This record gives sequence, structure tokens and C-alpha cells, in this order.
Amino acid sequence: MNLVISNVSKRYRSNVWGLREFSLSLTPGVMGLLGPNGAGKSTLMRILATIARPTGGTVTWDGVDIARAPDGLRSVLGYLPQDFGVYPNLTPLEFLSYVAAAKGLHAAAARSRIDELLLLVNLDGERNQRLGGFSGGMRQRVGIAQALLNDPRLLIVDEPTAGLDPEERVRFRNLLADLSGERIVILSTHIVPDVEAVASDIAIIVRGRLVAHEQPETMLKAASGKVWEWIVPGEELVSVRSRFLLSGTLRRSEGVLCRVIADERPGPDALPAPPTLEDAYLISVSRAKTEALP
Amino acid sequence: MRGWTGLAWIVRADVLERTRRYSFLMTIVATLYLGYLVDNGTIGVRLGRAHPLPTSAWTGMMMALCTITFVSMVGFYVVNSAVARDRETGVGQILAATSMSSLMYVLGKQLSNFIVLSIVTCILAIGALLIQAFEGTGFALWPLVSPFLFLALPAMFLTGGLAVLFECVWFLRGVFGNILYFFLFTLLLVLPMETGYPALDVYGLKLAMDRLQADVRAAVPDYDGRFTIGADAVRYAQTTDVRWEGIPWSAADAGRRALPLVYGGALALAGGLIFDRFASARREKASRATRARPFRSRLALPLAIPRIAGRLMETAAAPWLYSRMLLAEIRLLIRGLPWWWYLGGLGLWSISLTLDVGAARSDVLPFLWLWPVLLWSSMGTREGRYRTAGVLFSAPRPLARQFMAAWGAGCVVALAAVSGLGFRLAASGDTGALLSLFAGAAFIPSLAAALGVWSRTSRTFEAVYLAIWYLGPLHHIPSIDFMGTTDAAIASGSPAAFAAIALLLFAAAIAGRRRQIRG
Repeated sequence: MNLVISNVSKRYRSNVWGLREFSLSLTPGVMGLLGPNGAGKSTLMRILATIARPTGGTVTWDGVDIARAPDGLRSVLGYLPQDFGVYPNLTPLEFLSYVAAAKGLHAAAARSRIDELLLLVNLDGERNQRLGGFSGGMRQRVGIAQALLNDPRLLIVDEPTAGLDPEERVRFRNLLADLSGERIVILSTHIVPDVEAVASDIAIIVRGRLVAHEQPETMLKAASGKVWEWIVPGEELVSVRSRFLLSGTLRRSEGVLCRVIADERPGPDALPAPPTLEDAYLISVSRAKTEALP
Repeated sequence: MRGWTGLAWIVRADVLERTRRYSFLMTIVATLYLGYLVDNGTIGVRLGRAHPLPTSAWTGMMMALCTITFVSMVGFYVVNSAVARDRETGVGQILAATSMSSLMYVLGKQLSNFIVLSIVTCILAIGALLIQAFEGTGFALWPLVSPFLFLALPAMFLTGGLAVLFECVWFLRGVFGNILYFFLFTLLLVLPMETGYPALDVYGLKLAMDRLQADVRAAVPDYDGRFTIGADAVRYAQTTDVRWEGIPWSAADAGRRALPLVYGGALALAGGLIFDRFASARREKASRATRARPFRSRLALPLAIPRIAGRLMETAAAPWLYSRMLLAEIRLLIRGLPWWWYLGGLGLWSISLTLDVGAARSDVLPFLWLWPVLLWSSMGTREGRYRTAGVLFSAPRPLARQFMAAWGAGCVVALAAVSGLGFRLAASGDTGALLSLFAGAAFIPSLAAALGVWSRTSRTFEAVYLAIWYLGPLHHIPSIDFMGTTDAAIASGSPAAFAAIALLLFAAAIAGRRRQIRG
């Protein structure tokens, strides 16, 4: 089971690129796809989900080009799009039955699967209520259930925790962690802690290009020695912000505790700090943007 | 002053948003096509055996009258989404939280409607200028453009007002309002002719007709008074040339044509007074009484999901799988309608069983296939509207399964609606009429699917279908009577022609959906 993305590009207009020569090879495990807004994450997700075609390059699933023969991948695909919607006049049971039929699942098996999934996402009690009355978080849970209907080998979830409250977010992360194993899970998000919690691999995409594909530990190692904690007077914060990349600030009685990302000590009283994945991500994105400048 | 500046910004933003949409491009294309149809004589104004010479006045008047008749009807469907768009995008709630008054907002939308319709009118006016310059006899600007100024533009202002009012009244927002407008429009066309009361002549057709008839009568003594806009089935062996120099517009005429402006303003005012300021969107969120419960905790339920893909996957695209999908699509089509819709449908179906077969075919059949319009109008657009496209298009064989099932569901609804009549026709051995029903049942969902997929809005189908329905099956014009409501229609071969068109539309729908799936 492998998914190979080779030099994939997506050009919308003559000079507008969603993706540029993006290459990646995936094997079972959870891959977190991180990137700023508009970086091309959803474009990549849509190409992998076979609902957009690349303008260059190929994506193969077990050696088969998914643009030429998409049904092979589609039969083992679970996809939760970023802008997932439901039919408001159907109940969760009816909606999931509808998607199961669209996916070509066996009726009897689909029914028991739907029962399991409704229990899993805790919508069993609402199975006969119309989706039109559901909150955003509840609809998102229906979305998660539909993505798992066919016990997918490839699970693509695009911003899955949008609309979920913090407790639900944590539980969804646990679910994703449990789902990994003999399947490829691609989790696209810009929420670094979500990725940190479950991803075995992390890919960072900036302006349509892959700028890093590493394990979290490797990224943390690379960021080591580049993160500093520095208490500065409140009135100097603007000046510090203009000179350095800050990954966070915290108000203290003696000033503002800044978390500074810099190759060298930003000030004489700055202290080295252990990097987090968020720091490592900011370093990668910042470097990629700087290198892209003319 | 701040209020008027705000109004200007609302109008500007709304016009920019609309004119940058793909659907506006389609509107322009449709407008050019309308101009072409007028130019080649397919549609126009007919005055019995009088044959008006192509003077500037005549060219301008003919184009203006066609503009009023067709753009006022279809234009409503083009513009009546201004408030809905704000409701759907959430922009409305941002605006509702500002100090802008409801009246100012609604007025802004009405002016925006008017500007969009005016652009369409101007295109047709330019078309008239070009036609006259290249094909006409002589050229005079004022007689050519004055019908647009006095007749067409006020009518567009009124149409813009009606559109915004329909959007402000909750039960007129959807397909019901769209169908109701169609009947209101025909009523507004007919009412001044029947009553002769000038204040009801909102489109100015009576005014134009009276002047034209008087001038023609003076030139052609045996003129029979016939006046038609559109296509006239009556052909005259001999015609008499008439040189018409236009209407010398008086202050009284101008005052009479100011009435639609007053009516349009009053409609916007009424809309502003009853506009809910997007409270329904807020209420909808607030009324989500269903309490959210979190995912089951890991302690409450183990999250391990059994691997059951082997028994889940379908072995082949068996016919029963299609029938399951078809049933799901039918359920999706007929769900969520008010009780009176089902009752009304049942009532019509019952009438088609009890009336004389000929009368049922001629008078009930058109309404049997009008009632489910709101079901068909969602075809081809539902996946985009409810954002389920990502899930459905990434499922295996989305065209062969989901799309075919959706189209099939549309056909099933069409056949179910006329099933009572169909059985009676079969029993009476009227094969031609029976086959016409099948042709119609294939044509309607194909039209809905093709227009839905390509225009991405249900309004296109609603406008086009209602126009065909009105001219063909309702008025029994054989050449466009796709239902075969009369023997003349069947003899003319219309149902067979529409069956062929259904095939083309079906192919167009498939091509459009394939394009959507491939992104």
C-alpha cells in the first residue's frame, strides 16, 4: 500500500499555481500536512481525493495513476473535505446510507457499519433527527463517520477539527491515532498541536511547494538552539517584533516574555528554550518564504 | 448623507459581485441570443396583416417590447438572489449588526437589481441601434431609444422591486415564489388589456399597443386589431406595408410611465418594512435544539473499529445497487416539503383520473408537470448547494451511480405525477399521447440536470422551464408543446423532437458533471 506523488503541479491561470512540482511518497501511518492559509493544502487534498486533476505530474496508488483510473483508489478512500456539507432534510442514518450506496457498499454490512459509526461519533441518540437541526460540530462528526464508512485504506481529512470544541478535538485526535496502522492517513490542518499529537510524518507546504517532509523529532532537532525566551519591557515589544520572528508572547510583571526564533541569541539576557513543533514549523515556513523572495 | 453614501456602497458592491459571476456571463449570452432572435424575426411584434417598415421607431419599439416581455419575466429569476446570497454567505449577518437601516439595505438591493436589468436592456438597445444602422431604413436616435427609456427601463425598475420584495417575504423566497411570480407576471401583462385601466399598465404594453393599433388602423383600413409579442402562429397571405414613425411622447405619457417607478419604490419600501434583517438565519442557529454530545470517551467505548472492508465492498455494479441509489435519490428529492405540497400533488393526480381523458390531457397535464418543479430544480445543483460534492465525487463511479440515479429519480417523479393519466391513455390505446408522456418525462429531468450542472443555479431551469411550459403546454403552441397536450402537438412531432433534445441535454449534463468531477 503506497501513495506516490511525483512532480505534481496544479496551475489555475497562466501565473497562478496551486501546487508546483510537489513530490512525496507515503506509506501507512499518519502524515500531517501543515502550511499557511492558501499554501495549496486543499488543492493537494482534492487531487489525492480524485476530484481535481493535476496539470502536471502524476499520483499513483499502488502503482496505478489515479487520474487515469480513479475508481481503484476511490473504492478504498475515505475523504472528509474542508467544506463538508449535509442534506438538511435527511437524518444521519439516511445520509450515511446514501453515501454508503454511492460508495457501493453492501447494504447489510453498511447498515451494521453505520450503527457502529453512529455510536463512535456519539450520534446514536440523534440517528433519526434531521441534520438541518445539527450544530456545526455535530455535522462535522457526521462527516467523520461518512469518511470511515468503507473502512478506508487511504483516509484524507482536510481541516477535520474545524467546528469542534477543544474536548471534541482531543477525542478526534485520539480517534485518528487509533485509526492509523495499516492505512495511510493524511491530516491537513494549520493547527500544529493537532498534527503534533498524532502524526508520524510531517510535510510542510508553502506557496504550493513542499519545503519539508520529516519526522517530528527530526524537525525538533533542526530547530534546537534557535528558540529563545527573552523578557523585554512592554514598550520595546514593537521593536523586537519588527526585528525577530516571535512564536509567542506572555505578559509578566517584569515585562513581556517573548519566545524568539533566531539563529543567534537575540539579546544578552535571552535564554535558550527547548523548541516545540510550532517553533519548528515557523522556522521552516519563514525560511521557505525568505528563500522564495527575489 | 452617511446613509446615502452607504447605499451607494451597497449598490456598488452588489453590482460588482453579480457582474463578476459566471452566471452574469450566461445572462449576457442569453441577452445576445434574444437580440438575435428578434433580428432574424423568430420573435417580434406582429400586427395582423400590417407589415411595419424597419424605421428607427419601429425597430426601437419592437426591441423594447420584446425586452419588456422576456427580460421582465426571466430577469426576475436572474436578480432575485441578492438577499439570498448575503444570507448564504453570512455577509448578511455582518451587515445586520451595523447601523445601516433595513430600508436602506433593501433599497440598495433594489437599485442593484435595476442596474443589472438595465445593463441587459442597454445591450438590447445597442442591438436595436446596430440592427437599424445596418438593416433599417433611415436612422433617428430619439424614436429608437425612447421606447427603452419610457417603457423598458421603468418596467425593469418594477421587476427589481418585485424581486427584492419576494426575497423579503419568507414564503416567497424559494421555488414557490418563483412559480408565483410567473403567474403574477402573466397577470400583470393581461390585466391592463382586460380592464383598460391605465394605472395597471405597469409594463406599458397597453400604451404601446393602443398607439400602434391606432396608427396601423389609420394606414390599413381592414386591420383586424391583432397584436402579438413573441411568435404568432397566424400567417397572412397578403400584408400591407406601414411606415410607423413612433410615439410623440407627451408629459402625460411620461407621467403614466413614472407609475412603475413609484410602484417599484413602494415595493422596496414594503420590503424594507417587513425585512427580517437576517433574523431567520440567526433563529435557525438558535433553534438547533439538538444538544451536542461529545465523541464517546475512550473509557465509555473502545475506539477500535473492526476491519470489515472485505464484506463491505460491493462485488459488482449490480442492478440492485443502482436501485438502492435510485431509492435514496428519490427520498432526497421528495423529503422536506410542506404537507400541502403532497396534498396538492395528490389532488391533481386524482383529478387526472376523474376528468375526461381529453380534458385531463389538455388542461390537467400541464399542471401535473408544473407541481414538481421545485423537485426538479434542485437537480444538478444540489451537490454544490449543500457542499456534498467532495464526498460524492470521490466515491467510485460517481457518474454511473449517483448522477444516473439522480437523473432517474427525476424521471420517476415525472412518471409518477402522470401515472394516472398514463394508465388511462394506455387503456384507451392512445399510443401517441402515451409516448409523449415518456418523452416529457425524459425531457424535464434532462433539462433540469443540464441547466443545473452548467449554470450552477436552479433559477436557470425554473425560468427556462416555466417559459417553455407557459408557451407550449399551457397555450398549446404545438411546436413547443413537449407534453403533447393536443393531437396537433403530437402531429407536429414536438414530443419526438423534445425526446431527441432530451438526449442532447442528457449528454450535456453528463459532460458538465464529468467536468465538475475532474475539477
